[in-house]
Amino acid sequence: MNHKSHFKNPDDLKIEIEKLVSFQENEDPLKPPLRAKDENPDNRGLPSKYRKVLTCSFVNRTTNTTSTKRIGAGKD
Amino acid sequence: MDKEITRPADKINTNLLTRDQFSKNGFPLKDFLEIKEISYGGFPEISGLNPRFKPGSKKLKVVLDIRVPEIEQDPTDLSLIVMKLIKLLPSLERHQCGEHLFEDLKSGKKGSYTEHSDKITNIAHMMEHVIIDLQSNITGMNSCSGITCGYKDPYFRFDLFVECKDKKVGMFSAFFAADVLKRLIANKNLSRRYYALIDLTKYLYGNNSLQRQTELDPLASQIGSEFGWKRSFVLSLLKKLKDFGFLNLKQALAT
Repeated sequence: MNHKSHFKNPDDLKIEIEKLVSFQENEDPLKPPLRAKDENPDNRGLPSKYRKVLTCSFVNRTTNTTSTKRIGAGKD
Repeated sequence: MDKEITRPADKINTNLLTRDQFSKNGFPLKDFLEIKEISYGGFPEISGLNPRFKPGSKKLKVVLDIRVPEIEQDPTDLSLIVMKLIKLLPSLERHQCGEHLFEDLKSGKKGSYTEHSDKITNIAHMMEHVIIDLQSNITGMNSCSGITCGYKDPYFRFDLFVECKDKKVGMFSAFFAADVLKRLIANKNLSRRYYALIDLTKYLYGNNSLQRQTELDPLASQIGSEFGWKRSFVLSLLKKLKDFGFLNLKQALAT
């Protein structure tokens, strides 16, 4: 029996691959699927008694702890 | 006793207030916002809820009940409250907030916080921001993070967790924030006393010997001369600091 070879001729395979990846003129390239939204870190490990968790943080640019007096405060 | 109006069980489970209860002169401020409990510790069970929490950091936990009125003409203007808070604590504008709370409210955007349920959550979140800002301002913390956790039931209850370097400053910040927000929710302005309290706490924090002072007279004299404040004004501030757990004065404080 004349079995068709399982393996294609490397040259033919190369042509097929080029066909697969090449784009027709005026054809938009394939777009990547929409990115899945990042997991909301607020809800990661959310204790069951909470309905909602909001986060915030503050980076202090001034670390001076000396007092800043407000002129006139308490003088009246 | 004030009557409480409750919604059907399938709706928001919160205590609402009638218009009469919100009468300008008769409404008890403490009922707006009440600190139920304050504790201090590591709270590892919630450490993963804010990726900015520093590993192993100590935190202040504040359990809070918020009951704002739901009436036709709702007097709690959150944008106005934000503006007044920023005037008191300008660095609030530089906070990183997952909800863009200060950006949205300051710009007067409506929508996400027009519902009653979101309003109380936003007020709780504001309180967290105020605590963070006060602590950073007073102790000079390089960074401070926190979370506001709204309960499923009761709906008006919140746990605030805020990184805390100094327990006494944390307690002061929580009580101060509650006091400020109660006034602002009641559409009252902040007197110069609030500004002075921040300055005084910052001054005392930076002067350990004064902070440990338990006798009233020498402490009041030094503060009076340092700031140029009248003795009666200094005494009223010291009484607040004692009430807020920041000072431990032996001598009775009378204002």
